[in-house]
Amino acid sequence: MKYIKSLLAAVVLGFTGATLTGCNEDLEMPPLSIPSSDWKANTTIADFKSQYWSDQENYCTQVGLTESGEHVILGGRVIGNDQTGNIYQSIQIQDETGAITISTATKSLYERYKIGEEVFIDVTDLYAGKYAGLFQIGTAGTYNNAPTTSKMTEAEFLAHTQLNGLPAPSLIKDHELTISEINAMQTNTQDVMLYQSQRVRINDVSFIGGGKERWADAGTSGSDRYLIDKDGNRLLVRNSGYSDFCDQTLPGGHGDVIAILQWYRTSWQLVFIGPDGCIDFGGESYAPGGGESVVSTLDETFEGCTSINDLGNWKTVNESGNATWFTQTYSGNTFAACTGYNKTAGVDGIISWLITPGLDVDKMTEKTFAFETMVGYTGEGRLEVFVLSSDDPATATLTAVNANIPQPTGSWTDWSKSGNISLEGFSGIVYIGFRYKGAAGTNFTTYRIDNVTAGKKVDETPSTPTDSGTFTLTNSIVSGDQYVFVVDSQVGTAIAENLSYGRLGMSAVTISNNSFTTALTNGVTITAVDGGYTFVDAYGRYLAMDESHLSTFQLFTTNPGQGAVWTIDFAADGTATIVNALTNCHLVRSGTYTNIAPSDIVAYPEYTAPTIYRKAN
Amino acid sequence: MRFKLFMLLLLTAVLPLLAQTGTVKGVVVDATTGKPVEGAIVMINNQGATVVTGPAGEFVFTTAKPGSDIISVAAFGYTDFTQPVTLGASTDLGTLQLATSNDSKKDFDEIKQELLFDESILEDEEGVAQSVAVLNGASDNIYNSVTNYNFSIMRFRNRGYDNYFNTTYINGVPMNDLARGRFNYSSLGGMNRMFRNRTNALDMAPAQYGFGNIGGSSNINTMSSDFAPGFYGSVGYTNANYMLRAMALYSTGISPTGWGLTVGGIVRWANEGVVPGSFYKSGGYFLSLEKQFGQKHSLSLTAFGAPTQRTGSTPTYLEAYQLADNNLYNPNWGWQNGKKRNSKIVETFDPTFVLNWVWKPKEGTKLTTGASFRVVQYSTSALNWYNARDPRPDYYRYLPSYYIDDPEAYNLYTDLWRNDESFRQINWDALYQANYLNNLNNAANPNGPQKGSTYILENRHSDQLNYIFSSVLNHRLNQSMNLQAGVSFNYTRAHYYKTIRDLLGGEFWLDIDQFSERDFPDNPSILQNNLDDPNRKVGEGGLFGYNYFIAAIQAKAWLQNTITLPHWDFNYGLEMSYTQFQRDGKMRNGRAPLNSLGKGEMHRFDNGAVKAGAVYKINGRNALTLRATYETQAPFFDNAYISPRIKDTAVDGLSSTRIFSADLSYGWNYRRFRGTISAFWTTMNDMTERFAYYDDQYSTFMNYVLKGVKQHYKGIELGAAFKITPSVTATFAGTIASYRYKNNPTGVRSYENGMSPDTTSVVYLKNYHIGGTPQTAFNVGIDWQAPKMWFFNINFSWMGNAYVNMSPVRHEALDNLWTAYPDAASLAQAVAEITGEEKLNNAYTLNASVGKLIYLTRKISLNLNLSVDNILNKKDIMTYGYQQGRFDYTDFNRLKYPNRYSYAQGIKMFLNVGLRF
Repeated sequence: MKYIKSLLAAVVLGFTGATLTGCNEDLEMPPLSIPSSDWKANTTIADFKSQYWSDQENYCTQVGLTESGEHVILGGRVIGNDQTGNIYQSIQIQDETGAITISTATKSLYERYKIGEEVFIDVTDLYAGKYAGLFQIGTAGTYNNAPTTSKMTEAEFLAHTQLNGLPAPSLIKDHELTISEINAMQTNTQDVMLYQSQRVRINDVSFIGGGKERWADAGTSGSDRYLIDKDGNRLLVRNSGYSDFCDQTLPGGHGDVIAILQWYRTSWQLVFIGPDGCIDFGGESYAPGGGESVVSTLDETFEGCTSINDLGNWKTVNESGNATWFTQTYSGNTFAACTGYNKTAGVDGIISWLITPGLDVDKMTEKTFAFETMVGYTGEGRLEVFVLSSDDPATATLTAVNANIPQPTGSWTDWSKSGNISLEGFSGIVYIGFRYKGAAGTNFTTYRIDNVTAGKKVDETPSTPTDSGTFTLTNSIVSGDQYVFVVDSQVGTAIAENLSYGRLGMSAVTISNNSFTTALTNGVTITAVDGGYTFVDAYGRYLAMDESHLSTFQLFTTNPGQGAVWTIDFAADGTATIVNALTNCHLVRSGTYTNIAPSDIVAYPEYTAPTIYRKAN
Repeated sequence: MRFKLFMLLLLTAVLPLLAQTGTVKGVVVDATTGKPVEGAIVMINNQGATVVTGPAGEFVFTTAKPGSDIISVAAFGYTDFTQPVTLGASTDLGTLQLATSNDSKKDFDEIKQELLFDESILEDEEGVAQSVAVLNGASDNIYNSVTNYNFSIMRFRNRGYDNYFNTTYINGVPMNDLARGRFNYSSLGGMNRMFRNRTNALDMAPAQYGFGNIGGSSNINTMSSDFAPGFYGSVGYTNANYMLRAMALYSTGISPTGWGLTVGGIVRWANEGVVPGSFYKSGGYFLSLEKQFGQKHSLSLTAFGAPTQRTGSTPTYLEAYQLADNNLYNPNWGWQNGKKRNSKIVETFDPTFVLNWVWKPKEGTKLTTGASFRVVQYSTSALNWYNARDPRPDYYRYLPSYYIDDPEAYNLYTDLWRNDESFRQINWDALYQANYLNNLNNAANPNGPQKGSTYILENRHSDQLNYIFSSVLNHRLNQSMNLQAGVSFNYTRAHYYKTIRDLLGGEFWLDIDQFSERDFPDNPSILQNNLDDPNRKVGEGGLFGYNYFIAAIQAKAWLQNTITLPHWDFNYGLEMSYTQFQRDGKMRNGRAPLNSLGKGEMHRFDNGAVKAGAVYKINGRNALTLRATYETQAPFFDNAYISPRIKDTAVDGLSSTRIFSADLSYGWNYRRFRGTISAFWTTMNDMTERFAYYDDQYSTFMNYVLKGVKQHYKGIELGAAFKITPSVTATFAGTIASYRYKNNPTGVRSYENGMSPDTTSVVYLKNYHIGGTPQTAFNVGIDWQAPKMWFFNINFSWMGNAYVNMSPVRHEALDNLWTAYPDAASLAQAVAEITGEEKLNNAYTLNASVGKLIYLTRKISLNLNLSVDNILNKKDIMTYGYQQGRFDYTDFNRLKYPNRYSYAQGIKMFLNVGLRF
């Protein structure tokens, strides 16, 4: 009990002690350092732009004060910055009225000027103007000794801008537009002014070259790419070769994109902030050529292409020289073409390839392909078609194909169908290569191809007319049958219907087992007459001669008499000696001309006699 | 025991003498043997009269006042005897029987204390040196005597105060240094027996020998007259920092001619201590010569010193400990020629001389004058390198965590760390190899630029010369009032410099600052450490890097009055002091060419302190005490300069710290139950702390000063002992406290490479806990003084709420943090994580000890002691931890530069055999 007093006192003391230690003592942490600004925007971006807008492509104007004498302050949220390097040394800000680019030679702007960050800029004493047509805020600069707007220094930029708060990307607006709307705005100054530097969203588009091409060629100042929508409208996309994603492949299929709509000189160009501006890409692509690099069907008409590059999955290879396959439009029809004319030959002359995308033979419903060809001019340059094992002709296995390809006659031939070329015997992925080859020279042909199909058979009837027939080598004439003349594996082709005279053209044919197929229009009906035979072509005209023209056929719808009579004798080597009764000229291929026509073999002793092929009934 | 006798003696001076007196007599005998006890001190408590028993154990009081009182008898080797008595005109108390006490416990505690002295004094890792706070508590304050030793494993600091709030005197001469205000216990060389004669004033209690300090003070008495004559020797074995300990002490006592001589020595040795790669080689000597001139004068000379060479420790990362699978992993050593070589060698030797003159002109008046001369020699070695990879195996880039993004490299490094010991230790051969290649290069290109060592081992010296003078007067004014007054004077000349310890095979070392060289490649002068001797090639033993002196003076005068009344004790005192210090640079440093060479600014401070206390003695067994102190304290010169190695610049607005402390305690003392409960509250304002670290963002050493710091220390302490049986006592001691920063001080950064001017920022520290000491701790124990002089003790400690020492850089407002956490919620969370407090592991230990005292003869005794601490072998007890000053300002990854920790060893045993005659 004597302890009680002490214990009590101890408890009291303990209590007071406990209260001393037991108060609420929250740790005081440093304040959250968030940038803040008390600037307020006193001018909208739209007003500012219209005030300082000019139609010149390059100019700069120093910004003064507002009407009330204050500094002009714009405010907005960052919608574009240099986080990937695709946009470089500039940021784009957006307010309710529009968007604007601010150019500054500052690195790593994205660290502080994050997407969604509110920025105020005191534009007074800075410069507003255009560089290459893009309106921006910057500093005075010159381009080709003319004033332009260029990038302001870091010091100026930091002095004239203030950040406010934490970034709020949800407050940014994406303006939804279609490509055609964008293209339509191109000529409207008001629209251009409003939408330059704006953040746009374009739904349901594909990249041309998507899934195959890279965003840009690394290390270059930039590459042009295109977005295309379902209707074939295109929009230029400009990507920097210094961005950190330039080596990535463009997304394939179709999807939505969000990017900054910028301007260069006279037209729009879309600039992506980064590859995540592509949303939900997949499925089929709207790009011609499908954009796929391996297909099981092909049906290329080249329509709408402004260049082979528009077909992301076709390839051109210049094996020798610099003649590249290109696309061209004539009378509303677009096709692919190649010529060595005005080009520089290489070591092996001109050898230029146009290669289709990979064809998966195993997946083809019908293992066949076809195309149409046309040739013009004369000189060097012949078209040959091969099946390649890979898209690199230097290393691939080349298998030549027999295709009906016209020979140059000097004037433009008609479109010739190649016929269905079989791919039986091939498996896996093959490529069709169209090779334009010629030695160095001054005159070159131009070959055109169109309507390249694969995976399904095409109608092989010739275009006009549509009939073709098989002709077999013969050394006797049966009166009334149809025959063709062949020199050097080339068949003499009919003279155009609208002409009254001419020479037979020559078209390469593939002869196997002494037979080949060719259009029936090339056929000539040989009928026995007194003293020889008459030749009547598919258009019902007599192939005759007169004394004034010793190297051409004269065409008559009625038998003109002596000049239409020819004698035919077969030599031991199978060639035919065909002599005109009137002029004594022989029907030959003279010299190295690409025609079969009558010729005075005494005057021109260099000639090749034809062989005759008879159409089987 | 003797200190208790001293206290009693001093207290007796104030008791009033009564007009009416009587006689009291008796005989004091040994309870066991019946033999008389000579030299026992007998006291009548409330009268303050004391007599010493004669050869027959007899004693007589002639001026005793009749009435009830308590008689106490104290004798060496015996437990105190107290008995209430009623005194009349003539009282015969008869035979007073003294039971022998087991002194082994006290000896034991003292040995343990001394083990404590060398618990690694934490090195200057980041400019924050901590040394162990030890207060040799008076054994009658249970709280202090328990907490002193039992919580030291976690570097417990009494009331959370830093060491410099405790003053140590030797024969009345204040021995704390002026650089950091601390007393270096290791200068005592572990010679606890030689320095066991102590008088303590706990916390703010008044002392007779000096003004004291708010954390308490202690006066070590080394005069021969205070030593028991005879010989004491001991041999001990332990498995701590050292293994073997041998000590011998011989005192003649005071001869009839008045001469007294005490000599002693100690050796502590370990070829390899409990920490791998460590060693300990220490010797110590002690001499005390006294001549008494009659009753009034005595002259005494004390000389001691303890040259020591030992290895130092470095706290390292948790990852390193885990990979090495050893919480005592030591990154400072490596194999060389089949032997372990340590890079961190500490060499200390503080020879101290104290000359005292004690004059007792009359009864109740004593003047103790002392003059001390001390040479402080302290050096620590460290690797240094030039344009090379960091040779320290725990450099963060050699840890697997650096390769966290590269699984292959991560696995490789983890494998090496775990399985290849040489990978996680210093590769000395590689260092020599690098230097050797430089030598080859020099030989091949004798006309080209010569290359010095890439790696060296340097010694960082802090030496001091101390001249201290003090004089203390104790004068009994009357029966109840006692006056103390004193003056002290300290002149210190400190010298800081570096020398080359070992060129590691190279030819020389180029004395330039490689960081400035890298940062200012076009500026050949900024990288010079000494512009007057640029690009100097330094050889082994040569002085380089920095060289400066600080001369300081501190003069104090104090006055104190202690009043003892029947129911009240009062004390009040006043101290005035003057402090000055001045830097004297000996090198013109390229980073501060105008501000480094020569004598710098003189800094002067006037300070004062007042203290007062009152004890209300409710009755003889209960007392209520209230004490308070208000003082201002001059800054210590070690904290005063921003970058003293380079320039003279002091902390801007250097000012004195203002401290106010108060405590209230209640003590009770019954026959079987006694104890004290206290509550204390201290506030400190305008403090300055200094940190130094390598800042990655600016690639330079950063000197960081935290100034204007305000701290609160408050808590309750309880110490109680309950005698279950006369020989079994249960003790409890515990504290619940809170030591916190209480404001947001200012942080000043000074770039050592001179790249930018000093920058200032606010550091948000309010309410953050102060690191380094457990703020909650308790200990329960049982002592059993068994028959046949056996002694047993078992106790259990629990220590918790110890915090990692924070780095102020994390508590600044991070202006760019939002760029990494751009929304409000994650930003707030990031700030909370970066500034979060981190605790050391809570710890508990179970300790036990057993001892036996064997009297071979009446005079010769053998003392056997075995103590085992941390019986449960807990190896996860963190003794210390700190946040690095470096911070990742690029990615704000708070784990990039993780904290560094050190652990205590597991089970620790100490076996000691002592012989006395």
